[in-house]
Amino acid sequence: MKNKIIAPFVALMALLTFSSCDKDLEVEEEDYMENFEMLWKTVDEKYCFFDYKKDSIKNWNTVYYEYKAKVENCRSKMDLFYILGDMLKELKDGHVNLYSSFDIARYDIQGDYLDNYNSKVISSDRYLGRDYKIAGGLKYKILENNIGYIRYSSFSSSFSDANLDYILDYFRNTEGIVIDVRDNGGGYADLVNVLASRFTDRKVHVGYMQYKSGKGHSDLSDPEPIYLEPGDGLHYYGRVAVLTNRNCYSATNDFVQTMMVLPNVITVGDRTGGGAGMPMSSELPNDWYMRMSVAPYLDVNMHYTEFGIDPDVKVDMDEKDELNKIDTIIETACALILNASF
Amino acid sequence: MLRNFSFLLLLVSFSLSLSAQETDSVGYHLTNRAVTLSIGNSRIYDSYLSPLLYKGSGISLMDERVSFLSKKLDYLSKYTEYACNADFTNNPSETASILGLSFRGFTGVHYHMKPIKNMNLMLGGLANVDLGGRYQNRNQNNPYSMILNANLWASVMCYYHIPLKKRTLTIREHFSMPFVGVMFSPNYAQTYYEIFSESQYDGTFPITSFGTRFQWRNKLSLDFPIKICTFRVGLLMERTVTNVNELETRNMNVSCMVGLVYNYLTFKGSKKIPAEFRNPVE
Repeated sequence: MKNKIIAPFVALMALLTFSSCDKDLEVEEEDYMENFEMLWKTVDEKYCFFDYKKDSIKNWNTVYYEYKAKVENCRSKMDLFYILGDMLKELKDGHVNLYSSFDIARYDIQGDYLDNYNSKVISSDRYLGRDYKIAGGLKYKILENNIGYIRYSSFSSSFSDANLDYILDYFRNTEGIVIDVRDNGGGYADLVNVLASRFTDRKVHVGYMQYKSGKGHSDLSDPEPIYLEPGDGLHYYGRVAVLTNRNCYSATNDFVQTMMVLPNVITVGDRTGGGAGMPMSSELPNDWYMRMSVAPYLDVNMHYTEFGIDPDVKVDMDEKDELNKIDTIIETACALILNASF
Repeated sequence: MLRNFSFLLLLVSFSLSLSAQETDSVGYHLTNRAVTLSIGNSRIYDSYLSPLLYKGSGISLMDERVSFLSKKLDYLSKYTEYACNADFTNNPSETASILGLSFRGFTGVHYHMKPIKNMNLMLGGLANVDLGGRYQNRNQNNPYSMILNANLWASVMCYYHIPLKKRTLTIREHFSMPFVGVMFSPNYAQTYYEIFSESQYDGTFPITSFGTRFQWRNKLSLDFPIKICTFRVGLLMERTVTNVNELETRNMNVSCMVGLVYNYLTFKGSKKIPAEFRNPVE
């Protein structure tokens, strides 16, 4: 009787234990082809813009065969990194990167666009000079024409509600505010709403959000509307100009997209860099890791802004102005505010 | 989501309804309690965090109690268990790690049978809740994976007593497997920012069963009394495979258990403590 109970149980346990070995997940860390296959497959299953970019990037299956041949002839780990990095650049996405301990593979979002930003000009006395104030990650000053100027260089530099209260209180009697987010490559997405929420007095529909819902290239969730709600603390309902250039990327692109919806806001400068897909991380067996866009943001008209947003007023920096330490884009924005052009 | 939870709550309340019975017959029934520490190997695969299998070690502190459901129904016992688990695992190249922390509680009822001499075979059902998370130290927008699930389990427990000259050894085998439940899972590539900041909860609490959650748990132990203590040593094995929202997780733990076992009697509520028992604070 005892054996009749014990024997089947021991057999069941042996079977369950044997089937739990996860041999299919074992990897050869330094196998070049295995690293290539995993990278290609991860992107194939998770990247969210294949459908949207089908006319502007290579077919991903074609990319597989093209780069597989290169990996087969690869002789060193460093060569492998640059081959895989080049493969990722085919996606034309600044949110797709491969990280190693010796380099970060990245797509050049600026391309042929002008810089349209010169930090030396901003540091001149006409603008920030040396007597500007700092609140969290924001630098600010009232310019000579009584326009408040905020320089925000990275959404990774945080700020608090108290910081914003002090700035907006300081600017309460100004003619308008210029928010300069040129060369701001992004950062914390939640700071976008914290900042933008001080410039609206009502809940505003500002866009849509999707996420990759499955492994197929077209598997995207239904767009969910996203809203901007008025924030706590002091608000500013005067004229606001947001300055943009091609290096406004990721969270900054989202900030520009959000601010553009507000009636008292105008955007001035150059097309933004885009980066409208929230990235997620993954990794390879050989210790490199990567990120790629998985959740697209859409503007209020349901258009992807992955390739950037055109400003309301397109202006480039004038070379002569720049030599004279005059920022053409700031001057244009100030003129628009003072002339009540929007 | 609410419908899924309601369904599960109904099942849980059904399985626990037996515990509401009370009788007043005389006699005292002990509660058997074991507190054990388990240390061993752990493997974690969570496709939301990484496509790689992470390996390392795990530690768990577990408190198990078995007591009769009521004085009259001595063929039904109540089982409760609380456990805190921690897993420390690394990727194959040991450049990133996943830390797993979870708290879990089980409760349920077993029916007792005595198929052979010295053997107590118990068949029953358990309900459990797991709460915790995994943290991958290198990811940017997907560093966390939340563990939140509730399940109903089939459970088989067997005690075999081996009487020796001066003491009795007890071998205990406990095998359990969930058959239905509900678990939290983000959608395929949905970030937690979207779920919690943008309140996009659709599809994040799917119902699970064998096809989507295959899990088993086995505890084999030996209780042996030495002087004033009864010690427990054993082997704990647990395997979990989930596959929901096109995300897969796998977990395997094999641990050695060591702990203490004791029996105790509880007097609680408004009833008077019988005269043969003395209360040190009275």
